[in-house]
Amino acid sequence: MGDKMKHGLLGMVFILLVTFAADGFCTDTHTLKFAWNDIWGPKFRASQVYRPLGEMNRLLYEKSRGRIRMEIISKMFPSGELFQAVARGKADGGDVAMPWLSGTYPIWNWGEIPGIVNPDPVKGLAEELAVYNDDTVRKIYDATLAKYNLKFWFVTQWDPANGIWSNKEITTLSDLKGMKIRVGGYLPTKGVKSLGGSPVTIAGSELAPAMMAGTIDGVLTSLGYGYSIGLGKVSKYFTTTPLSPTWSAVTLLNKRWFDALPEDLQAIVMDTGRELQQMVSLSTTAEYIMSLDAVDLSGVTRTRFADSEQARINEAAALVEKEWLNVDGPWKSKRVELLTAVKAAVDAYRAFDGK
Amino acid sequence: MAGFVKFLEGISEIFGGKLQGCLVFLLMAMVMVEVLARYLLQSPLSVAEELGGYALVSITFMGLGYTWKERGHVRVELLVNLLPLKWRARLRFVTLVMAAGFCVPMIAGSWAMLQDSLLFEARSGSWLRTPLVYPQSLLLVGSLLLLVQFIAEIMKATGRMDGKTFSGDGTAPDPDRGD
Repeated sequence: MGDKMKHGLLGMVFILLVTFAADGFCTDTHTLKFAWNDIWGPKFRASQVYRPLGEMNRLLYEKSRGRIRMEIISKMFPSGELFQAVARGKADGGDVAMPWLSGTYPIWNWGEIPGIVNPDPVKGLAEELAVYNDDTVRKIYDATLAKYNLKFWFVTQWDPANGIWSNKEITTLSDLKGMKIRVGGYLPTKGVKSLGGSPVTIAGSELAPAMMAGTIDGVLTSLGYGYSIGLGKVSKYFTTTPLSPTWSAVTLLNKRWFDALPEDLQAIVMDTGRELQQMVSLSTTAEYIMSLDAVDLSGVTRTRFADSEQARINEAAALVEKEWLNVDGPWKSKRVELLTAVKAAVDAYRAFDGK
Repeated sequence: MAGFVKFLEGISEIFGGKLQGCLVFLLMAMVMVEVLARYLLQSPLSVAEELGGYALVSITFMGLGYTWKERGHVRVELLVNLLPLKWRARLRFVTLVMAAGFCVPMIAGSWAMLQDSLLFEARSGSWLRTPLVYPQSLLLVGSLLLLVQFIAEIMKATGRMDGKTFSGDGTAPDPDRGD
């Protein structure tokens, strides 16, 4: 081998080493290890943003010019353990279904208070998103989540579990009296009780068979989910109620991971979060509107309570709100502050007139 | 030593056997009351699903040691039964020590779960909002009871290797039972 060739090869090796060194040591790249559970497949609207090489991965990479990279792992932890996993730093970020934690952390489930946002999901989803975009609300989330070493990133909204699938037409609260309604969660159970129904707890996998067998008279859940599990085939009515007007998962970051980022990257992460939650919100709204057509075509009649019932519904809603404020759990003292901020954000959204 | 083995097995008998047997009846009664309340009173208690789950956890985990004592766990004895009694006793001692060793990560895992639940103040998502530390502690206690039973079994197996038996307590090697 000639000297020229040797020098050429050495040169190439040197360039390669310098390139690897620059990539590995000289740039401040940060890896976000993200945990989520792909249990719904592509129909889970958030899967479009969470999946590897999806919008979250892409936006963070592009906005940070490659300084933030992602390692996205589905089913790294059981869904019920994602909160703890992110808090303990086993993952840097994760998708946490807050309604599943409502028994432990009532504060972050203000969305289960009847009437907190518009019961019509098209309007309610937009109002809820306005709440999660509100700076005061976000500050309260950060202040409370910090106790567990967590940082609020963004919300992924689902259509609310606010309707009763039944074979009996429900237009007044008297119609609901004594009906055995399957319901999940602490506040929705209180809500069904306060409206006069009899809450029943049975496994989620048995809803349609239980309706067929007459074990229950109705199921409180969402339009889209209820339809997807076959409730449209065993029910004649879907009654929109003021109960549980939101159902959202919150995407959380490990606070230590976030605090270790340079300020410019912190801003990029938070901006990306706002963009992602907007995407998911619009996707959920569109999907809900399409679900209406599917349910209508299946022969299920959509109803709602008569206007004359509003005063009694408001009374029941006030009872649940009082329960939320007083139930034991972390951050009891902060709940009034959060509720005020949530209501103010909703009012501000409603006040927009484009002028 | 026979007295101590009897004492350990007594713990399994009471907490893993009799108590869990009572729980089976309680579970049955609870489900019956729930169904009756649902159909006759139109006002279900809405506790059977959650409390029934906890009862099943208790019956399963608290009963691990007792089930071992009663030879209720699945065992494959095809090859073991071909060995002479002396070698069977030795093999049993080794497998018992290994099984007791398996209890260590089980206890550590249960303890870590309890620590998490205490730190994160975890409660169930139902209307009962049960602090999860209570049902989860059944896993820890059940694992400890299993370890206690293994200690008793190891002591018995040691005695057998020395040619001793604990008369009257049914621990004499019996090829028909796969000892």
